[in-house]
Amino acid sequence: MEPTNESQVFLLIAIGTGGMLILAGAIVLFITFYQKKMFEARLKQQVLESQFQQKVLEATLDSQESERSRVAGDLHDSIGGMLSAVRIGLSAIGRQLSDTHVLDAQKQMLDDTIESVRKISRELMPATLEKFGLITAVRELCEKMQATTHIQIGVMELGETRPIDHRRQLMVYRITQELLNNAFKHSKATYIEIVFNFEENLYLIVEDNGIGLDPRHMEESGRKSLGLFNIQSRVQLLSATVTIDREKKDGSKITVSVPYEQKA
Amino acid sequence: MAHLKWLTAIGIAQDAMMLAALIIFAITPKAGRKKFQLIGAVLAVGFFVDMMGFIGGGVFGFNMNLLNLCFTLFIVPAFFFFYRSKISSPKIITTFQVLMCLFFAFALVNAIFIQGITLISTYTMAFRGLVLMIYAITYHYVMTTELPRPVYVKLPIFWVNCALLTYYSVTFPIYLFTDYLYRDLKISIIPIWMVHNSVGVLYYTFLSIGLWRNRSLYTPQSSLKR
Repeated sequence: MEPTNESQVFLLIAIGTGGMLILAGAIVLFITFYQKKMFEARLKQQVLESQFQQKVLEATLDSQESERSRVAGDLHDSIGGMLSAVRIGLSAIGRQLSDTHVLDAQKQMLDDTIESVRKISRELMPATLEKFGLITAVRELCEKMQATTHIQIGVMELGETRPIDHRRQLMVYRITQELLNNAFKHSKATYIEIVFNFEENLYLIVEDNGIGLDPRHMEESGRKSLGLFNIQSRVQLLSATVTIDREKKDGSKITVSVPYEQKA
Repeated sequence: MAHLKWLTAIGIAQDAMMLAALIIFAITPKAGRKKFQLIGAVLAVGFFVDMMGFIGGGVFGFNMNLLNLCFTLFIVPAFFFFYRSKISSPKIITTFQVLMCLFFAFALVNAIFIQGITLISTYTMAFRGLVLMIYAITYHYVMTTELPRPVYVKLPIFWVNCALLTYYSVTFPIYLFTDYLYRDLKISIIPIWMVHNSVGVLYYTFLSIGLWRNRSLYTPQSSLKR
């Protein structure tokens, strides 16, 4: 075969092989970059979904608190007020009777009912939180809980107190409430200590000398317990983190680290 | 003559890279070798066939085409089972199986009716290249859809895919036209086979990189999980 024809054939083969190599490379690059874009789009969608779920959770908890506030107000003002009026009426009737023995029993029951209504109203929406702040509200909660059980509760404040907006304070209060309820129900402790440590974040530490926590049991209970679910929801909304001290042998220690402001 | 010397030199370089890949496979811990055992088998058999071809064909002048054909028939199922262990989609596996069956059918037809078994079965090799390119591109797609993040270059199998795509895309037209060039146009195919051997060096280099990355995942110093 003539040299020029041979060169032409070799050139054609070279173009063919080069073309095939470029084609294979182009297919690989196309798939890689296309998938990278798809991946980025999926990631963006997941972020948007997560933000949406966060907003739904926020709205749910806000409406829950708003409803509690309304019910607490109605209980205190409406029912509490009526019961107090009935109490006054009974006292007036008692002054006209000779034997007040039976009436005294009824007045005692009514007093107990009024006290229960006030207690429920306070637990639903602590007025102290709004007027005097988080620490005072928690101290009041602990005093009332201590009065009904044999468990001693201590509240400590460390560091320089920093301002936190009312909504975040309420969520921290609810978390403290749930942690205390859990400690009462399950820990068999005789002493519970609550520490508010104001550092770069607010550290809420709840420690007891009870039987301790099994993290596996917590995970299983978390799926069934409304209390733990409430804690997790609020922790998520606050962009906070929860740490359980696994080294502690005699009792349990839970630390909730709460940023002072909502992270973007 | 100069071309022949260059062809031999590049052929030796290709065999050296093949040996390097085989050594890397051999020094990989057992757990890592298990994942790439079929690649190891392809390398070992390929090295054996090359040596036999050199000794039998180059030194004693025997016709080693049947041995080459057997190796060609071995590679496709080896890569089929290699990819099958990594793909969960039944549709893709079925497609791979169909391609493999088509390949065997074509190989049979080529061996009986077209090139026979005394000539180099370049058409069968071309078909093999096509099938393996499809395997590699499909797995590349599967890899990019299933990974949580796009860090493909760190994966050993990315380099195996690169090796297959590079080698078989370049050699596909070579295998396709070798017979025509040699028998009909009667021109020297040495320059073309120099290209073949050069891309063979690249093929074994990529395989070596992939096997080395696989070995790195299984050495005791590695902090990566299996």
